Amino acid sequence: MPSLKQRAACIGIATSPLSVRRDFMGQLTNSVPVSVRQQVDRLGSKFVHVNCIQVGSDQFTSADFVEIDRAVARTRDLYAAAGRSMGVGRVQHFVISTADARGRDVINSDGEAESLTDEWTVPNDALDLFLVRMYVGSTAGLSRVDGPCDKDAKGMDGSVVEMNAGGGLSDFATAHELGHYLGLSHRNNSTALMNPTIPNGGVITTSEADNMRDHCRMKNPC
Amino acid sequence: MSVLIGSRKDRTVSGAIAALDGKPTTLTTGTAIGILVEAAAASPGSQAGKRATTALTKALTGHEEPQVRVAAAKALGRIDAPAAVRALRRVADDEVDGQLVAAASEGLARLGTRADTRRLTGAADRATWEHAVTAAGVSTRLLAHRLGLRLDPADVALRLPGEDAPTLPVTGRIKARIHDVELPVPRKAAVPDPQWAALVPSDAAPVGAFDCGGRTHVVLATGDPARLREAPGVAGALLGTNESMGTTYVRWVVLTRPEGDGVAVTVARPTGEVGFVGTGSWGDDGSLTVTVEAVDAPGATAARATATLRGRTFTIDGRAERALTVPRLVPAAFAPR
Ligand SMILES: [Zn+2]
Repeated sequence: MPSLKQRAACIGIATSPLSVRRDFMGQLTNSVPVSVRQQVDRLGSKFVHVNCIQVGSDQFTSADFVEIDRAVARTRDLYAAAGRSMGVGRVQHFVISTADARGRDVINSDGEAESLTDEWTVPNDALDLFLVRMYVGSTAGLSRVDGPCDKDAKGMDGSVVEMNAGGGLSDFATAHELGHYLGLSHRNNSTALMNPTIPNGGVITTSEADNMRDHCRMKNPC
Repeated sequence: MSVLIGSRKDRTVSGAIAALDGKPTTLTTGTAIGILVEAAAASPGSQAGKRATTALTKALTGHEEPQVRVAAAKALGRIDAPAAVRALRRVADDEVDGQLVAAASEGLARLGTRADTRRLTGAADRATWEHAVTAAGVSTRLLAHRLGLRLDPADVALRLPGEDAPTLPVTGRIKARIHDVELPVPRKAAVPDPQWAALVPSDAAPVGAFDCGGRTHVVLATGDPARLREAPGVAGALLGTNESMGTTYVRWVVLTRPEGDGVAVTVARPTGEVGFVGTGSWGDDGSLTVTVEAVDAPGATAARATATLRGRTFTIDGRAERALTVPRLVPAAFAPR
């Protein structure tokens, strides 16, 4: 069996000191049950690294942190259960203060979501996930389909997801929007993760998984 | 692409009001506000539209969550109804919360009248939060263009953020062509959704589309460019489309003001940030030809394009660098409290 330290090194996390929950699992709180053993196993499949970027971070509450942890854990579970298994590797957290966000902490249109991702990025090999507490519109997120991996590329670079005050469905919305970025379009089936509405069954088929696993953001198994 | 959230039962004006009242529903707060603003913008005078507007004005003043109040202010700025405008004016006049002032200013730029330029100038003077000062100043300027009012060009508060930034010369060896494409949606769908209509001249119509920066922009242009010879104005807008929802939104507005024999051109976000500046000139046949260049801003790409509007015919040609010219901003690493 591979060791935790080997896996941590494989996903680019410093191993001494290593906080298993914070660094290896990328969890902000101790509230969401997660299995380290399972995550070690899951890194034996292809996986994607994610940057969680809190927009208007000074307004995030501890309930929001739990919600982010739940979104990460749910995305890991749904991707692991896909027709062909995938993982979420390194999860790191970043902040844009309300002052620096200049009004974009409350997204008022899909255009503002685009502007947010046009203006900000974390220059590493992970997918940028912008978390906003308020996305005014009938939808709860935005992502381009099959997004680029070059962070100097033009156009929307990253996914935007609306949080929901500690509750709600941002876990499914996160898995769904990252699915778009990794190449998936909508599939009208209430069991499908890529159904255009949530809640849904969260299913990723084998062919959808193959599509995602071919995306340039996907890393080879450890 | 995006995702709709909530059950069919909750995705109604009543469901959205329940969600804002804190009752358990399948909606997020942002979705609830979005459902209300869509209903109200589509038919402000209807019973449902009035109920939705009232619920938003209540959230604006009474909701315990600051970001919900801000979201309500932004939503009211998309509803062309007297009750919405009154609520925004009260915020601009009395409010001390800078985020609310900024949000209300944005709305008044779209819905306000001549009297609101003074109100917005006052709000900009009073505001203490930097973004609120900027937003109120920007809104004054956008409102003036919408209404065709002359403002003192020497007033620095009326410059848009980035308007004085240097332009980016297109020097990269590998360039992408900016060129016309077919409309990505049927012509009758190439219009702003009702909630964004106030950003676009009422006589504007789709005249074409072009690809730039990995995105397709639908071009809406005024049917009466001659009025731009006389006073500041909005020549048109560039729309983005959310293909999964079949909706459109305004990505850029094209502002002009008379300068010499032609016009000065500023292409700005609906929130005022400038992307491109340039000049335009009039042809003998009444056509307007403008050349714009990208300005230095985070995440900008050097680009230069020339576009001509002749009646309802639009053509564009230009070059952009393949990759970003100016790096994007970098969020700070988060250290848990
Ligand atoms: Zn979607």
